[in-house]
Formats: sequence, structure tokens, C-alpha cells
Amino acid sequence: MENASNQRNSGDSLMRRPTVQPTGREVTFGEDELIVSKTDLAGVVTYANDVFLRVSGYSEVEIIGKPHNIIRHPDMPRTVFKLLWDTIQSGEEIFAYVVNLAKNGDHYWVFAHVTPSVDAHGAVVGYHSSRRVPYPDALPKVRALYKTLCDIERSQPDPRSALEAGTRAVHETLAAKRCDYSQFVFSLSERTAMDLSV
Amino acid sequence: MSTPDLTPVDATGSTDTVTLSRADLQRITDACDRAAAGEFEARIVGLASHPSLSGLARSINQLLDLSDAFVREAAAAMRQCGSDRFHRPVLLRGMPGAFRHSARTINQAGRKMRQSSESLSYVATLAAENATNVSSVAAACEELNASGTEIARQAQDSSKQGHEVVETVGAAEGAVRQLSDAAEKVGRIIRVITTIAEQTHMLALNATIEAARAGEAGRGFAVVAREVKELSRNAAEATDQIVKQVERMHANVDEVVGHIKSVDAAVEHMAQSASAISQSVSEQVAATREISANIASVTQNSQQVSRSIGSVKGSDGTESAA
Repeated sequence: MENASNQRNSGDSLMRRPTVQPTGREVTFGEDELIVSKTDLAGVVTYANDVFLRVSGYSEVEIIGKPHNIIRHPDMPRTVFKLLWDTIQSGEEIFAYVVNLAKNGDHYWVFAHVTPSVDAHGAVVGYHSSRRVPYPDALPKVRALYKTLCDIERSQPDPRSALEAGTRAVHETLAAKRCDYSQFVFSLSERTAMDLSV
Repeated sequence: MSTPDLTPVDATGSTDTVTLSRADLQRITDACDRAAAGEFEARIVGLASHPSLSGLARSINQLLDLSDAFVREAAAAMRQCGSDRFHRPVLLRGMPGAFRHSARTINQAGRKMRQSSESLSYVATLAAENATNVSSVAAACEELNASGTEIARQAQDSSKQGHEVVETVGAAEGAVRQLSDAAEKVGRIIRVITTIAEQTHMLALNATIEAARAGEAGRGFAVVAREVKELSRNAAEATDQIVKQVERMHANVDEVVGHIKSVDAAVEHMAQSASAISQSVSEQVAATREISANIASVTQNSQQVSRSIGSVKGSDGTESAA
């Protein structure tokens, strides 16, 4: 409880970007496990399950009340998070391959399912994320796409045009494949389609 | 603050005492009550490092996490299926036991729905094709109907004209027969003239004999008798020529009558053919009308099929939002 009170006293720590340096080491979790977290409408963590805590290396008191982007990895394109937030704020679910940053700088890939949480009256009260071990056949494609997006974002003079250029690139990719994002993300792995035929 | 005692029995049968605050107990009870009411938002937070309650909190949270994830996934997968989108299964990874079993069942239903939807789409394509084919058949029927009616009209005209020609030919035949009768009458007159000429010849011979018997006194009479004989001979020659002409006329009239009979037969045949054509075409027109009527009903049915498919395929977001 001591840590928690320290965090709450230092109000500005809520918004401070984490300064964890990536180690390049990958950690994994079990195929039968789900990493679960919940946030409020502003993206502040309100719950993290035990798998989340174990894999990320944060304790419950360290993570509750922090912005969810504390585990954001620098290799993640900002465009993907914009797409994610736009989607869940419109009340839809989204699936995304995400690489996260652990407290010690290690990283772990997840296949995240993010959904809005609604109350009995249908109002969105927060967001929920369930993450699975990603399907290995999808990862090379995802890494290549994310690298392209990061390069596009870095080629732009400011964050706003970086997001616009990245979003444009995503739309072009989807248009070339003649599908929407949801169909695209499920097409990245044979395994997701196999779940339909078992 | 009073602390109630929980006294669990562990696997070895030994007992120890766990203490928890009323506030913690209340939080655990609340989370379970909300879950029992079908609301999976609550989690037990803040007990992760509690010396004796972390395990209980983790177990309850795990149960809530799984129920929460399953409900979200199942609803989302079914909502997609309801919008004719079948790419999104309930992911089996991370779903144990009954959750996994139910996820499989949902995915199997989704697969069935996709097959039905594909069949329906195929039927819709066929129905649309049918509609196109049927309308071109209907157009062809209309043209057939129009040309059939025209042919029937022309055939009736031909038939009428044929009958008129038959009447005209009949009149011509009558006129030719009158000509033949006239020639017959001429023949009879010729025979009278021939008889007169023969008798005149006989009279001339007798006059010559009587003139000779009268001697010198009959000489002038003998000259007259010779002239009369000459006239009767000329008359006989003329009638011979007339007889030959009349015979030739008879032959010509017979030939003309023969030709007229052939023309009459041919025209009669043509008129019959035109009547038969008219009859057949009338039957064709009637058959075409019947086809047109059937096509109208087929068109109506295809439209009904298309509408039904449209209404099945159209019922997506609006219903699932309810």
C-alpha cells in the first residue's frame, strides 16, 4: 500500500512517458492463458490480471492508475493505436497484433482483442483488452507492415501528419486487398480461420 | 473494524486461520453478486499481494475474465454473422473447457450460416439471371405475337384475293363456253348453207339438161345455168373454209377451257393454303399469348424470390442493435 500512496501523491507521474529502454529480449506466455486488463474512458488502467502482471513485470500497485501506454513499445506504429482508439470509441471491437514493453525492457507479442465495456444503459464506461499468444504465421507479415508504418511516420515533419500518412498507408493496403481491417487482421493467420472449421 | 475469521481446510486436513477485513469481504461479495447478475465488469483489485487472499482474488478474477472474454467474443462473432460477415470465429485459444466447447458450437453455427448465405447469394444470382432471361423471352414473345398477327392478316388477304380470282376465272369460263355455243350455232347455219348450195347445184344441173333439150332457144338459159353452177361451187368452197375455221375455234376454246380449269385449281389450292396458314398462325398467336401469360407469372415469382432473398440478406445491423 505504501507504493500506491506514493504514486497517487506524485500526480505528474500519471502522464509521464515511461523511460524503459528496450532490451530486444522476447518473453512469452502460455497458449492457454489470457492477458487481461481494463481501463477507464481515458485509458487509465483499472485492472490487470495475474498473467499481465507476470509477463509485464509490473506489480498491481505499480500498474493500477497508470496510463495503459506505460507498456507501449517504440516499434509500435502510432497509426495502429489511433485505429484502435477510433474503433473502440465508435463502440466496435478490434483485433490487433501488438508488441508490448515489459518493465525491464523485454518485449512480448500479443494478439489483442479490445472492446468497449458498456453499462446496463448501453453507455461506454471503459475498455477491456484480452490478449492471446499471437499466431506465429502472422508475425513476419505484421513486423514488416509495422516497420513500413513506422518508417512512414518518421518521414513526416510532425506527429499530426505522421498519423495522417500512416492512416493513408493502412487504407491503401486494405484497398489493395479489397477488405476491411477486421477481415485483414483475420487473414494474417491460417489459424484464425481454422478455429472456424474445428 | 472487526475481522471475521475464515477457517479453510487444506489438502492435508490441517486448518489455519485467515483474517480479512469486512471491507475486503464486502468487495469480494460485491464482485460475485454483480457477476451473478450477469455483469462482468467488477474485479477484485488490491489484494494481489495480500498474504492469504491473493489466491482467492486471482481465482475469482480469472473466472470473471474468462466469462467476460467469452461473452464479448461470442456476441461479437454472432453480430458479424448477423451482418453476413463470416471471417471472425470465436478464437479458441485461451478458452478452456465449457467455454471452448461453446465457442466451437458457435463457430460451427457460423460456418453453417456462411454456407446458407453463400447458397442464398447463388440463388439470388440465378434469380437475377432468370429475371433477365425471362424479360428477353417476354420481349421475343411480344415480337412473335406482332409478326404472327401480321402474317395472319396477310394470309386472310391472300385467301380473300384467291376467292375473288376463283370467281373471275369462273366468269371467264362462262364467257368461253358462250363462245363455244356461238360456234356451234355457226356450224348449224353452215350446214343449212351447204344444203342450199348442193340443192342449187342440182338445180343448175337440171337447168343445163333442160336448156340442152330446148336447143337453140335454151342457149341463153344454158349460160345462166352455168353461172349458177359456178356460184354454188363457190358457196360450197366458202362453207368448207368456214367449217374448218369453226373447227379450229372449237379446238382453241377447248384449250382455253383447259387452261382456265388449271388456273382455277391452282388458285383454289392457293386459297386453301392461305386459309391453312391463317389458321396455323392464329393458333401460334394464341400459344404465344399463353406463353406470355406464363412468363408474367414466372417474372412475378422471380421478383418474389429476389425480394425474399433481399429481405433475408438485408436484416443485419438494425436487428442486432436491438
